[in-house]
This record gives sequence, structure tokens and C-alpha cells, in this order.
Amino acid sequence: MSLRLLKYAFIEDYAEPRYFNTPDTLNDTYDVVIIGAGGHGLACAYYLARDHGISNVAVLEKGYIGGGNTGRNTTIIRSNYMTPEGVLFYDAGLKLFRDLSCELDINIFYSERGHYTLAHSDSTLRTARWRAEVNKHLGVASELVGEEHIARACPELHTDCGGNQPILGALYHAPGAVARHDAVAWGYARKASQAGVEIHQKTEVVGIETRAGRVESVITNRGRIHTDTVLSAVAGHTPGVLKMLGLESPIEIYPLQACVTEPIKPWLDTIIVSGSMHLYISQSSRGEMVMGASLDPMELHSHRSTFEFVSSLCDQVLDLFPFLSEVKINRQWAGMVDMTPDFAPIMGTTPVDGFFLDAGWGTWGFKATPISGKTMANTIATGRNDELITAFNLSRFEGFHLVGEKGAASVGH
Amino acid sequence: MTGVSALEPEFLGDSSAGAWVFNRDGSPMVRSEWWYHRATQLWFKVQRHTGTDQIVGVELARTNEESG
Repeated sequence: MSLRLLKYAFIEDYAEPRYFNTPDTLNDTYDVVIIGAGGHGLACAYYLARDHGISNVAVLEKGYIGGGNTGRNTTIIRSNYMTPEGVLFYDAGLKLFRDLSCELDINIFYSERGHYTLAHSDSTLRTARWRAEVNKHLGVASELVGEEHIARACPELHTDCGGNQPILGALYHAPGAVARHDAVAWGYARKASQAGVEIHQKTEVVGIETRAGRVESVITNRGRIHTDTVLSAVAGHTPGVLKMLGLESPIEIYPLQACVTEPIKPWLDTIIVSGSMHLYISQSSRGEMVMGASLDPMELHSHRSTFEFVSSLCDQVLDLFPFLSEVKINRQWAGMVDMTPDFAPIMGTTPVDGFFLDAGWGTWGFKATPISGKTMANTIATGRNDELITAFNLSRFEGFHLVGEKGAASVGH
Repeated sequence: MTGVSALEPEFLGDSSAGAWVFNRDGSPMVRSEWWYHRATQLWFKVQRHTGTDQIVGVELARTNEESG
């Protein structure tokens, strides 16, 4: 045992402060109540305090912080989307990520790797070219590259894919990065807590009361809180929260699964994605291969993982990297995600005064953690949708103003 | 049928066409689904609970001629 550790046995006050305060009691009133202490909710609390001086805020979490999709994603950060609205939004987020370690005073292991979206057919190449042009037009580094570019960056990759679907080219996005997702949630929690925000874990919201179309109070398993402003940031549970208010949305819940292998020596320093093969793979700072695929095929409110997922994913991965057959899968898990018809989020104001929504984050939410927090904080503080998120409002479906990101937001198409 | 709006848009009342097309109740519930068994090329009508993944009812989907 190290002396430093032994020393703690004799000191009552630990030198290391806790990451965030855990107040025992809920107040009767808060200026803002945020439902869900994942990355998005905590980021919003932080920016409310930092940018708008609103710190009488409670973040309510029915489990523990970062225990939902913040801790279940595959940590990829990129901005090579398809629609101008999407590209501008995610690129603002990517820029926030670059400075986030410094801003939050915690090492989030932000690591720019370069991101290849492989194309195995002419039609995928066409979509890749489309995305590259939209990206370049908006100042995002994105280009169509040939097979030799990929082979140089990743010599281990079998570009003939086992003979099934040879790689013709790829969309290359140099700023593509990975980061430690838990650190993002914990960093925001600490900074928000230092600014006066209260984080209440094991506190479940069971109802929201309104009067004359305005939010009046939130009912939790620990009592009633009076507030006129509520943000829902509950990936995978949004339909339940909307039901408390009688609001409708197109959100459906699907499981999204992922897995990691045992740690191996660093060999893959890029992020490889294939829409046609339904897979993405990168190597974490610990050396694990982090792998994911498309959504489960049917709606389900469950965190169960399946053998079918991991076996079909490995089948595809081995076509690209046959030598990985020696490597064992260590863990697999699932998250419940809010899917929307256009693969874009649902953010901002709602028909209920004082109720704001940060939802519909499907398979693309982690990269948006800082920017969704910042834009939602601005929206809550001013009562008007931040200009970066106006296109993502819940009302877009009524008028058929969809933001078609399906070709760029996931690998399941 | 649960979880979807009225089957015919004219019964919508105040709701808009966009809401009718896109909105649905995404809470866990028993849903009616079409399942296809690839090996036998048969379609099934399945009642499945989306919270528990439990299948509560199955029937073979029949064509109009078969059902007479």
C-alpha cells in the first residue's frame, strides 16, 4: 500500500474534494429543473450558470450521472453531416470539444484520428461526394478519397473486404475524433456543481404539472418542486416524459448495441465506418477495439444485448480485419435510443410554455453534448430557440420540414 | 390497434396532416407487427409487447383468396 493511500486512513477530511455536491434535500423551488443527468443535461446546467448566470438549477437523475447513453455510446466526434443545418450545428460542437479538457479542467482524452466512411458501391460514393461538397462549402474538412488513401492510413485493412464488397473509396474527415465519454459527464457535473447547480441522483420524475399551458411544478419520488422551467434530456425515455404533458412526437425507442474487445497494442489510429457493412470501429486509449453496428431491427424498451448482434458484427469486422479473429470480445451492452423519422434531433421550445425538449438523439448524440448544452441553455435563458437549433424544433413534423440526415447520421440504412 | 393515430386522416379533428403522418405514442405497449419468416416465406401477424419483448399473439397472415 502506498503511503499516500495509507495517509487517508488517518485523515477525516480527504484532500481530494468530491467531484460534485450531493445535497440531501430537494428545495421547494428552483429556477430551472433539468430531467436527466447525462452529458446533455449536465452541459446545459453548466452553460446556464456560465453564460447566463442561472445557477438555481436542479438536475434530476433517476439512476446515476452519465449512466444512460452518455456511458453507452462509441464516443465518436465528427461534423461531416449531410444537411447545412446539421453540419453547422455539429461543427460548432466539434469546436467546443477541442477546448473541452481545458474548459472543464479534466482530461477527456480528446484524440483526433481522422474518420473514414467507406464506400463499397457507386451510390455510396455519390452520397459521399454530396456530403464532401456540402461540408467543404461550410468550411468543414471533408473530402472524397480513393482506395490508396485508405490503404496508406490503415495498412491492416483488407480493401477487398473478403471479396464480397471491395472498397471503391471513402469520405475522409480529418477532424474525426474520439474522447472519454464518462469524463465529459463528470467534467460538466463538477463545473456545474461548483457554480451552484444541484445534482440529485436516484431522483425520478413521475409527473409534470401545468396550469393554463404553463409548467408549474415537477413531481418526483422525493416530493414536489415548484418551477416554471423544465428541460427534458432523457435519451430513451422521452415518450414517457412527453406523456406526462400530453404532448405528441414521432419518437420511437430502439436498442443500439456496441461491444469492446480485450485491450491490445495500439495499431488503429483512425476511425473506420462502413454504412453498407453496418459497422464502425476505432481503438480506445486503453487499447480496446470499440465496435458498433446499426440499430436493432425492432422497437424495444430494453437494455438487453444479443448474441445475434455480436456474431453478425464480428462476421463483418473479420472481412475488413481478418487478423482480429485472434482477439476476444470483452464486453457488450445496449442503450435505448430516441429515433426520429429524419435522423435529426428534436430540440428547443414546445407547445407547453416553460417546457423545453432536448431529445431525438438516436445514434448521434454524444458528439453534440457540448453544443446541445450550450444552445439549450441559450434557448432556456432567452425563451427563444437558438439560431443553430431552429431547424430541429418539434413543430417541424407538422409542416413536413424534415432535416434529412439519414445518410449521414448512422450506419443503418 | 394501439399507438398510432386514427387510421383515416379525416377523423383527425384538430390535428394536422403532418402530426397524423409522423406522431405516435412511443411508450411501451402491445404492438401489432408483420413478421416475415425467410425460410418458409410466410408472413405472420404478431402481437408483441415493446417493453418486455414478449409475444402475446401470433397468427398466420393469409391472402384474400385463402381466407375466401
